[in-house]
Amino acid sequence: MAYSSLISRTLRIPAIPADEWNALRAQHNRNIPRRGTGVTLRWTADGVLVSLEVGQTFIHPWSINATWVWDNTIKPLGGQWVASVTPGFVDGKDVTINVTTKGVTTAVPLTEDPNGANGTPQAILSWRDPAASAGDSTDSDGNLITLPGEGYPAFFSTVGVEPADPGSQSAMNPVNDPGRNRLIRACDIVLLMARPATAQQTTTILDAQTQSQSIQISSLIQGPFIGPSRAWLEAEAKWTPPVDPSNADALLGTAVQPQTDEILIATLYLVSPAHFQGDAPDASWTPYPQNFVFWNLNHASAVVPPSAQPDPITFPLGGVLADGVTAGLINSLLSTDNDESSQIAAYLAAGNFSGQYWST
Amino acid sequence: MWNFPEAHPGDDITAEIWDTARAAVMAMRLLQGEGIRLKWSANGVTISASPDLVTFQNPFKCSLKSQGKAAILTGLINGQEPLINGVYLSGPNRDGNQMPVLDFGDPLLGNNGAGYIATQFQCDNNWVLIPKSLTIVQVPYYDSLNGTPPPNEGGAATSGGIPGLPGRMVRCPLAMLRKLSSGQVILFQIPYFNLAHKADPRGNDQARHFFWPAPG
Repeated sequence: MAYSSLISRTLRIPAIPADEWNALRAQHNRNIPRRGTGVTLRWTADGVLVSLEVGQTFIHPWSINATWVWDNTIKPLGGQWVASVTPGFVDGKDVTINVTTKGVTTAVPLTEDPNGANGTPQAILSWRDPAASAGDSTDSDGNLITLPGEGYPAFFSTVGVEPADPGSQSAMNPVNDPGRNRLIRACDIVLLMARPATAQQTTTILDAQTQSQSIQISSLIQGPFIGPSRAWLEAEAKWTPPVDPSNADALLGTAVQPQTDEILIATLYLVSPAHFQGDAPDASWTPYPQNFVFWNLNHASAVVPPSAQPDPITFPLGGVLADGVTAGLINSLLSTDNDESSQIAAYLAAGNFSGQYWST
Repeated sequence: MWNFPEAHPGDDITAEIWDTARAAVMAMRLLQGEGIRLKWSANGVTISASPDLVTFQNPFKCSLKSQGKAAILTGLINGQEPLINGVYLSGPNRDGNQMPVLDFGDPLLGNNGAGYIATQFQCDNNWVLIPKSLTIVQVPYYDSLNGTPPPNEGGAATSGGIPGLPGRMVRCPLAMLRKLSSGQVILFQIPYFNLAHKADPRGNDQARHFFWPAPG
């Protein structure tokens, strides 16, 4: 029951002089909190929340902030989602985002002056649906099956996001919850660094028709390709980590070494309003960043690129492996029974420039 | 926001007016937010701020004090504390009361408009940090001794780590300084922990240097 109803029905309020009432009003107005330096005030239904200014709170490097940017040239949505990133460093150096203005793409440092020519660098986002099936495939019997959806953090099921597709071979029944009808989209923010790579690794059998046949392994190392900068961020709908080839791949000549070392910085999720009609995220969706990296980074390759191309290594085969089947030969060379296998592994490792990230 | 209603002589205090006045009073109640402590008493509310609760006082935390001056909270590299002009970061008696200030004047900036506050030290014959050489400097490049851009500045990475300088010297960046178009200098913190160091020698005088959060 409202306090006023109680008063009006049970009490007769004595006359209060208007001056006295207004004095109370003036006292009340003097007590209204006003925002001063370093403080924020938030007016809520229960009162005024007094907090220290957000700028004084700690925001970690690589923190993702997604915003909707209105742009009438983008049809039919009238804008797009972009992400800005709190500056982070690799080996104490700036990281950049590619920004395209009037058709010209520039690598803009995250520390760029927000009031400068390029403004705050922002990554344009593209999306995947982590609730949707990952696609179709066939099982071992050749039957067409539907793959399960990638899924998302459990938190999103509590805010009513639609269940992920369990796939056609799941033992679990699809969740049928009409309350979970919000759509979800995801985008990965990835840090890349260019690094040297072994472009070509060749295995040559010398004097194949004689008992003195031997095998020669050689490497051709190429310098790092020229990326937009030393280290840069990219927004990808679905990031796939680069995979270093195996030693067998290297000896077979089929190895393709990645020319970047990459690390997933964050995944940005967008959640639609309930019963959203449509597919593309618009301004009504809500962003939820999930960070994976919270500190500045260092990076190094285990191997320092040599100043000259490495000399090939040669091993006598002695005729035992002259079966003409290269894959069998490679497997024999890499076998732990082979005296030369450790030398071969060391030779190949010297041409592997994959690096590691660590925090600082 | 609710406004406390104004009264004129002869006005009735209706339930609506009373409710509005009551809501205005209720809306002014103070609530304790992040970094703020409130203490209610019969005579009012004492408001105290606790900046320490929300400001992360990390080792090597750099902050600009005034034009051309920076304070650096104490931090350790391999357990050693850097000096500024012969004074430890934590103060002359390591009591924390008289912290030295790095006075660099107009900041030295590189070609990209950024400079660094860095720790600088020298390694001995075994590539171990010499404690007395550990100091704080403001430089345009931490990986170039004479202020000219290093070979790979802005280009592709090579083998990573922090490149050494001649004389077995190395600089570990603590903060980047950047001058805005307004002329204001802003600062970006780089390490947040005490650091451990190890060198990866490449010849007599060259090395890659690695820094990582010190255990413990």
